[in-house]
Amino acid sequence: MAKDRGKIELKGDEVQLVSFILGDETFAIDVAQVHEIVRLEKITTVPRMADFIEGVVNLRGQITTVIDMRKRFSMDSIERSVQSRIIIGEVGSFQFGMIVDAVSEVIRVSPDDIAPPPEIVTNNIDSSYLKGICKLPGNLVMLLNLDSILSEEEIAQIDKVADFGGGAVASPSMPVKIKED
Amino acid sequence: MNISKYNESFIGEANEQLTEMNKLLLILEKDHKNIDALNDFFRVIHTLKGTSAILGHMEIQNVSHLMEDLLDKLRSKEIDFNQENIDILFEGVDTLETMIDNVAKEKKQIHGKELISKLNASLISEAEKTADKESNTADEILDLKDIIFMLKPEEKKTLGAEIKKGSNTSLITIIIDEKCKLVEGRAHQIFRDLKEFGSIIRSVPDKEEIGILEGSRSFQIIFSTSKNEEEIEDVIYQTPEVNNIISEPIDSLSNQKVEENNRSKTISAGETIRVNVQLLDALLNLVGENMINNIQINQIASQHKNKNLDVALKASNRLTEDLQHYVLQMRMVPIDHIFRLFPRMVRDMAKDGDKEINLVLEGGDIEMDRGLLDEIGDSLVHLLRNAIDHGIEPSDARMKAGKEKAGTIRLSAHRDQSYIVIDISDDGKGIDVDRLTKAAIEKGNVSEKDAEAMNVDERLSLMFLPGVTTAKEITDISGRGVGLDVVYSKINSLGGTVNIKTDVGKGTKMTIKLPPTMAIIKALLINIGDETYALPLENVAETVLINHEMVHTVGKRDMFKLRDEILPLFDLNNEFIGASTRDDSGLSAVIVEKDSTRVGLIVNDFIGQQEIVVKTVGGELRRSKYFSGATILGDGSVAMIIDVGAFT
Repeated sequence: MAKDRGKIELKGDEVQLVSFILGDETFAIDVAQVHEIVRLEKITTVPRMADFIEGVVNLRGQITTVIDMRKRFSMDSIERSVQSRIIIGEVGSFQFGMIVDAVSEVIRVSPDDIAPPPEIVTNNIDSSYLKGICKLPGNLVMLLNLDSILSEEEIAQIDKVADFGGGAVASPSMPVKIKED
Repeated sequence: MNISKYNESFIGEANEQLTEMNKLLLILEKDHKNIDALNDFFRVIHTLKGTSAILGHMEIQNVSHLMEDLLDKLRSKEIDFNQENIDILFEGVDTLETMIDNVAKEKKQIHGKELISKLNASLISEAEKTADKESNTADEILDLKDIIFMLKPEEKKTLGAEIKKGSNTSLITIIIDEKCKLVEGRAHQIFRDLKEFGSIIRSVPDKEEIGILEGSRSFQIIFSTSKNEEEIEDVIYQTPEVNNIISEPIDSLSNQKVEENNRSKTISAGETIRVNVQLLDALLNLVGENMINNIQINQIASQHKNKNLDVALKASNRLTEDLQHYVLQMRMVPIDHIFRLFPRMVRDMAKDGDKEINLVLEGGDIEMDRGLLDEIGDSLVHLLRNAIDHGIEPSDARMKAGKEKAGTIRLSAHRDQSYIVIDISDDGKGIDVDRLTKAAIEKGNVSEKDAEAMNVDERLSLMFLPGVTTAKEITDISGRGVGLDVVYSKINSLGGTVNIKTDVGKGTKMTIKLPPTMAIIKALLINIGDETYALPLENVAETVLINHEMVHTVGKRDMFKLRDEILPLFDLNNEFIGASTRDDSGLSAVIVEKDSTRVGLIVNDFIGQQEIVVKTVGGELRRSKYFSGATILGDGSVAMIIDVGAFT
C-alpha cells in the first residue's frame, strides 16, 4: 500500500512529507514510509535493550517496537505532553514507532527543493540519518532517512550496547549446580 | 459429478500413495525377498489404479496397471527380482508422480510411453522365456466387477436403465490377432458396426487409447442391445483379424452387488476428511482472538462479582480451552510427513554422486504444526543436499581416510521444552573453515581485517552469507553458493536458529531450533517494577518464598539452598531495572527450569496463571536473549515473555 502511494508521487512532480518537531528542529519523513500516527499510550518497557528503545505497544494486536527519537539523536529528554505522538514508520515489512514532540503537518514540496544533506547538520545528528534538507520559507526541514534509523549496522550497534551496557550477571555461562553431600 | 471436486482429494491421496510406494521400494531394494513389502506395494498401486480409473485418469491407470502386472509376476516368481526391475518400478513411481502433478496443475497429461515400453519389455521378455505366446500381451483382461467399479456415475446410470428396460447388456472382450498392425483401426470398425445394433456404454481402454499400448491387442466394451449374443458376435467377426470374443452378460444382480460395495466404502471414507490448511489457520487465529476477548470479559466480570455470571463464564472458558486444544491438535502432524520423502531423495542423489550413504531417521513421530512443517521442508532438503554433496566423501576417499565405506547422514528430531530441534549430521569431511573464510573474503562479504578478528564459530557462520561456497565444482544440486543463506533467513523468519558444528575430517552437524508455533501457552504472570511479565509455565518448576539468610554469595553470584540443591539466584529487578528487591518480609522466587538446569528468579509479585497468546516481536527485539516473544494482556497492554534460557 505504502509503495503504491510512493509510485503515485513519482508521477507527479511533488513529494509529500510528514513533518514533526523534535526540540527546536523540524524533521520530515516521506509519507510513503509512514503507516500511521497514534497518540501516546501505555508503552511496555523492554529491559536490556539500547536506551533509546522505549518499549513496545499493542498496535491493534501487533506488537510494535517504539523508539524515543530524542534519545536516538542524543537530545535532552523532556516531559511528554499532549502534543507527543508516535509516528508508525515502515521499513520494508518492518514496522516501528517513533516518539516525537509533536507532529506538525503534511507538506508538499517539489523534489528540486530538497538539497543533499550538508556534512555537519547539528551537533547531534549525523548526516547519514538524513536524505536531504528541505528549504521552506522561514523554515529548514530535515528529511529523515528511515532506513538508517534502524539499519542493520545500527541494530548491531544497539545489540552491543544492550549486551555490554547492562552490567548483568546473567551471562549465558555454564550452569552452576552444586550438590551438597 | 463434478470431477474436479474429487480430484483434490485424489491428488492428496495419490501423493501419500507415492510416498508409501517409494518407501516400500527402498525396502525391496535392500531385501528382494520381503514379501510383505511386495504385497503392500501391490495393494497401494492397485488402489491408485482403481481411483485413477474412476476419475478417468487413464494415463495413470495404464501405468499403474502395468506396474501391477509386473508386481504380480514378481510375486508369483514368474519373473526374477533384480535391480533392473527395481529401477523400472522407481521410474514408474516417478512417472506417476509427474502425472499426478500434471493433474494437480491441470497441465496436459503425458502418456509415459518410454516407461510403458520398458514395463512391457520387462513383462514380455519373461513371457518369452516361458514360451507361452498366448500371455504375450500387455493388457490384462478385467473381470466384470472391476469394470463396473470403474464406471462413471452417468455410465452406471445408463447401464442400470438399460438393464431395467430388459436390454441384453453384456461385457464383450475382443481380442485382435497379434499380426494385426493397426489395432485401433480394427477397433474403429467394430465400434462403427456395433453402433448400428445398440449402444456402447463404456470401452476399456477408452476408444482413443486402444492400440496405444505396445503389445496391446484386446479391448473390452459394455454393450447394450436388443439383439442376442450370437448375432452380435457375428457382427464383430465381420471385421478381419478378430481372434476371439468373450461375452459375459450383465444382470441386475451383479450391479447391485457393486452398489453395495460402493456404499460400504463411502461409510469408511468418512472417518477422515481433508481440510484446507488456510481454513485451519483462520480457525486458530479466531480462537486466539477469542481467548484474548475472554480474558477481557473475565476481568470485567471480576469487578461485578455476580455469581451466575461467574459460573457461566467458567463454562465458557472451559469450552474455549477445549476448542483451542482441538484446533491445535488438528494442525499437528508427525514430522515423518516430510522425513519419509528423504530416503528416496538421498538414494537418488547418492547414486548420482557415486556415493554410498545410509540415511538414519530419528524422531519421525515428533509432532509439529503443519504450517511450520511446510515452511521448513525446503530448508531440510537444502541441508541434506549439502551434506550429501559436500559432506560425505566418495567411497574410495572414505576408505583411504580409514572410514566406513558408506557415509551416514543422521536426521533426527526431538523436543527441547516446547522447541523443536532438528539435527542433520554427517560423518563426512567437515568444513574447512580457513577456505570458507578465504572464499568469503574473495566474495567481498567480509574484510580480511574483520575475518581475522573472528572466532571459529563466527567464521563458520560466514557460510550463511549469500554467495559464499567452498565447493570446487558446481554440481546440479548444490555448490552455487545459494542455499544456506536462504535456509538461514527462512529459519530466522520463523523465529528459529541454525547452528553449525564441524570437525574437519569427522563431519558436520547442523542444528535447527524452531520455536513452538503453539500460539497459545500457559504462563505464570509476574510483576517486576511496574511491568508485568510472563513466564512460560512449562519452565516453571515451583514458586517459593525465601529468606535473606538462605541467600549466599559465591563469587559474584547469589546462590540459595532449596532442599538439598544449591541453585543460582537472579534478582530480576536487578537484571531488568538495576534496582534490588530486598525487603524484610522475604523474597518471592520462581524456580525455573530449562534443559534440566534450574535457577531461581526473584520477582516482585506473582500475579497468577493464565493462558496467553504468543505474539512474535519484530526486528531487533527478536535478538534479545531475554525475551522469546510478547503477549497482549486483558487490558490491552503488552507483556514480554521471558526466555528462561537467558538465565540457565
